[in-house]
Amino acid sequence: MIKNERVIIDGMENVTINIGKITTEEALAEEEWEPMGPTPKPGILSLRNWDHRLLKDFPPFYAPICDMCCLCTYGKCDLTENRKGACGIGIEAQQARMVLIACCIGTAAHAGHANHVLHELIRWHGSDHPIDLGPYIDVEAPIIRTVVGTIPKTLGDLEEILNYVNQQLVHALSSTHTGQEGSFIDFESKALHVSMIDNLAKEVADIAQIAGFDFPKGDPDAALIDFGFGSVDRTKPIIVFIGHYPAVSVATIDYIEERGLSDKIEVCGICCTAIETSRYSASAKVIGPLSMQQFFVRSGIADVLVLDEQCVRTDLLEEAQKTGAPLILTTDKICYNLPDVTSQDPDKVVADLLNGTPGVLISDPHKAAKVITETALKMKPKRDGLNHLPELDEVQKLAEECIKCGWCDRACPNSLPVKDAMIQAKEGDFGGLSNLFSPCMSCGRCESECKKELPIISMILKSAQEIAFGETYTMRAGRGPVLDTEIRKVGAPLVLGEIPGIVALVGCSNFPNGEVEVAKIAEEFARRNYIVVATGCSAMAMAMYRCEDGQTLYEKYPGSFDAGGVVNIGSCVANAHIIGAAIKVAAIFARIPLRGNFEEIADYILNKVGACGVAWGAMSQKAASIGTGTNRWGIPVIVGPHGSKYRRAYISNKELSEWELYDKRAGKVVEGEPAPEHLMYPAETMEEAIVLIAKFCIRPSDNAKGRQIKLSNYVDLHKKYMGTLPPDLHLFVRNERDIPITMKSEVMEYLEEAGWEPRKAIGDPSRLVPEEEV
Amino acid sequence: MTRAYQCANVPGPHLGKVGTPASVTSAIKRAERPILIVGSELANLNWALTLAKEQNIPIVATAHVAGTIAEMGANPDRVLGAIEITNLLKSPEWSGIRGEGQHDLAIFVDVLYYLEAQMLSALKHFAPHIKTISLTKGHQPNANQSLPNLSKKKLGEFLAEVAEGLAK
Ligand code: SF4
Ligand code: SF4
Ligand code: SF4
Repeated sequence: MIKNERVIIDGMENVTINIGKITTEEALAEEEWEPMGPTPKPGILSLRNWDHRLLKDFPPFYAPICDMCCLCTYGKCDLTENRKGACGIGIEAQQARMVLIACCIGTAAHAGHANHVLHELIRWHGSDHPIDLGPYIDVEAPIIRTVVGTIPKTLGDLEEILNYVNQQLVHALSSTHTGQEGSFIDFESKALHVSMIDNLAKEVADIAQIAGFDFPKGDPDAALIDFGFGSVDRTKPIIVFIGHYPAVSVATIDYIEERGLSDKIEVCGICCTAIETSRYSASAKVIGPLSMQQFFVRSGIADVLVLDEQCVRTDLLEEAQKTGAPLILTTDKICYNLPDVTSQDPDKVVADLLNGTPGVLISDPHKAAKVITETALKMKPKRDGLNHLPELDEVQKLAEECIKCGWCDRACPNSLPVKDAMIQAKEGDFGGLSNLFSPCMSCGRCESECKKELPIISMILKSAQEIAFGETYTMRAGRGPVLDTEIRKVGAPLVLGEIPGIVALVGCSNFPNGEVEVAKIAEEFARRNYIVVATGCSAMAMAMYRCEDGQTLYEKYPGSFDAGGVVNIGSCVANAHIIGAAIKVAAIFARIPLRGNFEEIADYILNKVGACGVAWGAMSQKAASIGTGTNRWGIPVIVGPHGSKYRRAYISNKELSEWELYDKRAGKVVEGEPAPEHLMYPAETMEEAIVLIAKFCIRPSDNAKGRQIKLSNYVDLHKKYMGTLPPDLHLFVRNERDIPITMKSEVMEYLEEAGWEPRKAIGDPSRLVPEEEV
Repeated sequence: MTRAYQCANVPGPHLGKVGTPASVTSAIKRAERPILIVGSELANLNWALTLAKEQNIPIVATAHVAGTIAEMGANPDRVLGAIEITNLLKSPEWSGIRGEGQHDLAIFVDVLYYLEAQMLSALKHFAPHIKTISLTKGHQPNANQSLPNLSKKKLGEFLAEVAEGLAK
């Protein structure tokens, strides 16, 4: 078969012979940009040794959330006390299998997004549309270069990469079928593999978006966007986009602009579609992260609700109907049994929606844009004057119905004191309910449990109306990739430790105590001159906070990828650029070839780039694959306490482990150090996480000055939150030159007590022992 | 039947016992090398510190509880994350906080409920050498025994009875 100038031989679909291209200059340049490394387009087995090496230092720790398996009709199988399932699987392998399933789901969601957006953009611009990331990025697509071994030049080039993504996903998922893999270590290796594929899919998605929607190309001064319920002008028709896939919001903004309606309509977003939309138009408003979803829908502010894909509440049809706002679905991922009206006359669809059709599905973004805009314009007057939240005296009356059973508290994922708040509200004191607004993530589990069917979320929102509607914050629009020029500046100080680390706040908003903790973590490390980067719901959560001087974090700290910067990289798919920045340190500062060279790059990052991911509100399967993929690249991740429900962490046992590293300079295996100590760690509190972030940024490559800076942060934070010097400090002091000067006497005293002996810093630390020396 | 405090936290067919002050007291008395793990909820920290002192039980502070204990003028035996101490307890070769051998009873007090549930699950599945008691607010079916779902006042009375029983 000949397809796109390529001969594909039956049964050898992976082998392609290019005709007419091989001699072109472009193809030669492609051949020459770097020699091909050992693992282009790795399969499940290609990087298995690397995974096993990682898992030797950071073995999986399993905490089953369910003692059974019910995946096939042999089950349910009880896996307690060494029992095996009917298929022969034991509890550890079953946990690893469930983790792999979660990582496959996460990867599928990102790959689905990538496939979807790429094909839409090819429809808009053609497959020859160039990928140009601007004058300051030469090493574009670092994940694609490292994993696949190509440099995509056009949207069409990304298709081939997605073919590889889709193929790997199928293989990984298939191994979870009953009676395939039986080893927990190899399930983990597959989870690491498919999660690296997740990272690759995200890079494809965001590069396509930057090229196709002309999103910012790494602009440190990306616009400051108005943020929060309070930023919305409620005198105008209001459209709200929820989800992740920006084609529809972009098409809607274009439609609105083309008709000169820009100052007549409010376009807002929740979750990642909000970030994406603000990357396209600075006048779009960001309502907030996922945790604000139900609050905002209940407020009834939206005249039209538009859903695309990923992390959207599944009951929004019901909720939208309560407020009289029509619901418009725009992708095949969410259909809610609504009619697909894509081929109908848009004017008729608008008329139907105005006449009470609760919702429709329109899969063409441009048609959807017209329906959304016209419906919002005409819906607004119909909805004016409607009141969607109970008045305070009604809140009190509702609270009087409460029978104080306390099941709400017990249903709440964070065990929030809803019952006590109800008891207060009965007496006309709404303080308790109002205090719930910040830690509540509007999940609605309390309402589902309440026998009196009290609308608890609406009662909380009404009681907190001044906080909820009174504030407008700002968020810097997602800037996209880190510039090569920035990497050139920070590469050396990062590897030597003089910039103490990159703190990456990523992932969902299943926070244990509300959004404020993410902001506090960011502030703590920005003040200490770490590079703070953020994406997705965490980037939005950080916006909902004012520093002591009244500024938001994005106003106070620069948006450059540099010491003391607070950088909004973008949405969930833009996470790829954070890993990309670590890869670019290896490529630009250390000049390590990327092409098909995963192991060497990941080894470099693990031992030399002091970065720590923090997914404080990790909730979704996407967060599972984001985190696990980040781990495979050698970056440790701290999750919030809810993250323990992923049922697997990667935890070293520093009392029992031997930390062996290979010193490439000395050519021998040497005593290493627990730096980083763990690879995937659920922390119990924000304060614990803060101390650990400082510790997890320590790397064997730190020079004495860098180690001093990192240790002074670690010691200082440990004293601040734990009251003492760190009890494991001796493990991180190699010799006296590592001790922060201002702390010398107390640290020396401590070290003497701990029986510390000086040791040599490792010249060129690695976890890869050359084969001839094994 | 007593349900888990977070009511959907049902692990499977084998559920731990609902303890009484007498059963908790006797389990602690029977243990040769118990360990107390105190967490971030801080509801009964004083009680735990007193118990540790009076019964000479080593105490591990999780999260940033060590800071609070320091403010009270005391020090825990060890500062470890909830998952770190659980990981150590899982290893048969670990010689315990005082180097006297792996512990045979872990008593959890005030670790964040759902994180504690996961840690208890890890021990239930992978540490057959250790028994677990949860004295954190709310029933924890992954512990060998834990509290019934009690009001704050009743919980205080329960713990006081345990302390009295142990003092006898
Ligand atoms: S997949 Fe295995 S453990 Fe699961 S239900 Fe089937 S037989 Fe039982
Ligand atoms: S809606 Fe809020 S209070 Fe209710 S269960 Fe969810 S987090 Fe808890
Ligand atoms: S579940 Fe409903 S009735 Fe029961 S305490 Fe909570 S709000 Fe009151």
